[in-house]
Amino acid sequence: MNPPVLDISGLSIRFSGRTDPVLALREVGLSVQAGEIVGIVGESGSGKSTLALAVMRLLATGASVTAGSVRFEGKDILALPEADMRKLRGAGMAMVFQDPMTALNPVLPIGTQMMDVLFRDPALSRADKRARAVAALKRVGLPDAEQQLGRYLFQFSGGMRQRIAIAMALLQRPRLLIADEITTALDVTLEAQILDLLRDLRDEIGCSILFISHNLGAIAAICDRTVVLYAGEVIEAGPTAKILGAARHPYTKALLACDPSRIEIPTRNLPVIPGEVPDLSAPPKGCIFAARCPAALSRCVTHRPVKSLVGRDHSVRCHLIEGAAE
Amino acid sequence: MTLLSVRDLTVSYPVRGPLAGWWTGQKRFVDVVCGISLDLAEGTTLAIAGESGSGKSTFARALMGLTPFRSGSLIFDGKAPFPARGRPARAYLHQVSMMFQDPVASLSPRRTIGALITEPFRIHRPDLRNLEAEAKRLLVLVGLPADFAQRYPHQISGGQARRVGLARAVALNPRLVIADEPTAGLDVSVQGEILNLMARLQAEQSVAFLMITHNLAVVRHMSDRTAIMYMGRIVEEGPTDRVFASPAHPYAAALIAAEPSSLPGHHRHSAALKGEVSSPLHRPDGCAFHPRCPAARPLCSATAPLPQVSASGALVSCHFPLQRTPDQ
Repeated sequence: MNPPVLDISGLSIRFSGRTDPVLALREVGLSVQAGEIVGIVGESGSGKSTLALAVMRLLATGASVTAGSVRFEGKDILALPEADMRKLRGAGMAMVFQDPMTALNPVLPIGTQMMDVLFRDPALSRADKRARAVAALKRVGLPDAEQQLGRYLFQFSGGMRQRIAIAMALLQRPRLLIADEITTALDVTLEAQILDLLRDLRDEIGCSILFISHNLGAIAAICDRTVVLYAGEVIEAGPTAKILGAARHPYTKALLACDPSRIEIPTRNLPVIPGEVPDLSAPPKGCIFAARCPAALSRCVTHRPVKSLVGRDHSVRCHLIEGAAE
Repeated sequence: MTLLSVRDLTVSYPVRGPLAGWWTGQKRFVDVVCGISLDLAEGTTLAIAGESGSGKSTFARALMGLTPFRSGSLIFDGKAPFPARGRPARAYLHQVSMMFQDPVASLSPRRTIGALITEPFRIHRPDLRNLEAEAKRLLVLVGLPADFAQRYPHQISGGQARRVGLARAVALNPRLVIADEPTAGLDVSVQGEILNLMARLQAEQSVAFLMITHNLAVVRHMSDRTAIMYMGRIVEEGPTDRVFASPAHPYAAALIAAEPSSLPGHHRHSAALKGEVSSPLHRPDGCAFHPRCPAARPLCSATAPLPQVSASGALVSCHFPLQRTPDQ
């Protein structure tokens, strides 16, 4: 069997600066098979974007990998020289960022930026590059694609900017696409179109997708498997239907309960998760969710739970589940 | 009682470029908001939903006087606050406030939270001396610790910034708050906190909300009435439960059918809506939605439909509104 397109194991990342070091990710493991769409769900600050940036090796200075490995098609990319990594970015793996306004250049027309991405392909003439850019823009549903090439980012609405960013990532047909909250700013019909587009892309060119989102509806619509991240740790992972339909970890359950689209009868008193995310400069010794968990036991505070398998490809890190299994 | 009444409000932006108007000698305009009419009752919530670029935010800005409107009228509490030219009356801005879309960008990074939330008092209530007490009152009101007054915007989280935005919006006890995407980009649990807070303030102070959002789940829970916008026009407006139960405009129906859900077994009907949003520069003749409409007939591309009352009691701008069949 071919190695997974992406295989992350035991990845820990620390941010150090003027304040106490922050342990942003702790022993994170996940894998993405060829042609698979894997979702990463978690609240802001849970480390979703840090994980994505670590895979692209675009972490900010001050961030360091303290343990673990990231393998892309079997190669350990954390050990790769920067020159090789640069070749991999764009063609091997591409990323669409959360905020297109800061990801793209505001002072260059979008057509120029899109054509520049193809600079490594000397066989393409200027006209070819232009045609490819137009095709990519049409593909993501931009009206008047030809005329849009000369326009600047500020002339587009939020949804359109994101579609331009996606079009740019598609230009080189990457084998792994990392999509970081790309539908957050989109409306439902556009979101549905973009998700369809990602699925088509996967089916057509076999591109694997790491789909990062806090939108549970989007995760449900597109992901084969889902990884739940809380405060820098994977607390539950499994097939999407299991995570959304038969979640085992108390955090996953609480998160699903908060989703207003799951609440049938209209209410103006929506459920919330009481408490705050723990301070990651001094993560708790026990379970990372213990302080907010409605069912926490005393050992949840003192001992870190181990990962236990509760079904085919479905794992949970929780003392309560261990108890149930015994 | 009707608090806000808008009639035929149109906002246009001039088309720029080297050749704009060169041939005809006339300035060309793009209608971003074209002819919106709606009423908002005191102490209630009206949600405006629609795709990006449909003119939701422009409409909100026009109501605040931040973007001039080309034609139309606005009556607030029986008075017309907008003069023929220039800014709206100060008394109007005292009673109407806005929560901006990007809470962090709307807070000046160089000022403390305390200074930011008491700014409305400096403008509208210069007689007020004890601003510190007001800052404390507002922070407690939105569920933030009182010592946040000394912090700067970069020291707070996105959810906390929304709370600050809400505190600033309700500082002067306004009668209407225009909330532009109040929960966009927030986690579901934090989103619930902000929405619960807004509902509580409405119950306590009977403030009306005009909520702009593209999150239909939020609309369904929070609003009394719902208006669906498409290309600058309201295509359907009515009581929220009825609009959601039996949308009459094909676009409203497609939008509601496309609402994502994380419930297993839920299949959204994304296939219902194909095609691209038309460019406002080349607005289709007749009904602006007809190029994408699954039920379009020749009349739709010839004549723009006028609003009519649907079977469910909503106002619908469609020649052939959907009829709800009993088996659905």
